[in-house]
Amino acid sequence: MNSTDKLIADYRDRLSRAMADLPPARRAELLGDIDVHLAEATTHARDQASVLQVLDELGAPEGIAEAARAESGTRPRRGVDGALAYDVLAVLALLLGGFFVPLVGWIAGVVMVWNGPRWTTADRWIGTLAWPAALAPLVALLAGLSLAPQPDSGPVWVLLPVGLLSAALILVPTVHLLRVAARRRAADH
Amino acid sequence: MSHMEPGQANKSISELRRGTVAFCVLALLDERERYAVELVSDLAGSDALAASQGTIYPLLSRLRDDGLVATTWQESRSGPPRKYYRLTDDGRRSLDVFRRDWAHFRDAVDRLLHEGDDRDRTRSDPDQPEGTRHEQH
Repeated sequence: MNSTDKLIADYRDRLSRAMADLPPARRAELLGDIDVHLAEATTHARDQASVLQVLDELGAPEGIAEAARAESGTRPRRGVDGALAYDVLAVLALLLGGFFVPLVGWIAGVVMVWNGPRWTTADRWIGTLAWPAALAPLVALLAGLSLAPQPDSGPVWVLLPVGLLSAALILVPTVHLLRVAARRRAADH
Repeated sequence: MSHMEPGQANKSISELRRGTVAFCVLALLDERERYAVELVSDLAGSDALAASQGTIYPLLSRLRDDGLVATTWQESRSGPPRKYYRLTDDGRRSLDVFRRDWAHFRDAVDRLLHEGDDRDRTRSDPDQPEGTRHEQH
């Protein structure tokens, strides 16, 4: 590696480090833009003084990273600000919304989970199906009991494991959504 | 405010530059599409760029994300491929709004600055009766 290549490589390294907290796509794009700029600006003069001047005019990598941070901070992604509050509110609406406004509250939770920036399609389906899956065994049990020949002698002890199963079916997806959101939130910032 | 220092004025001007450079970029692209290195040198020539050249790239990314400019890659005869930026319809609308608002803003600030300037001159010139100068406005 000759000395001008080294100057450029060092500059890129500094820029890359200064942008460490930016989303990977943003980082890659900015590095690509700077690469094209350097290639273009040094096409005709690759001596050390010219390269130094090009780098000097580009400015301190930390300043460019700061500008990138300011620009991306002014534009929340996809209309949701990606804040902790949104993630928690979405999961709470999904979990408890139905108790406050039957069905509609739950639907609001589902919509929020599908619009949230943190979850994959699989995560969203897990959230959507949590309540239906949790209610299914209870509904089946109640249907079974009402069809039984002697309803009052029905096995009350069956209610306990079925109730626990239902609770697990609603709690596990809830915890999953919150943990995934926390992990991706940390990666984004 | 009574102790406004020259440094404060410089800071205000650089904040103004930061706030208007996006529209200077849109205005340059309104003439014709340009590639980034070209944009940078045109902006540097016109003194509109607030910070170092490299800060143009985050700005251009944001303008593209906001749908005000669009990009295309084109081969270049003299060097590596270039990313060309051009104004979108949204960008043109945004620029038109800014042109109108900026003209109002500039005129209003000019009027206030010149009035102050005139009054200062009146005060330092005792032969000039107060009041006659205001009729000029």
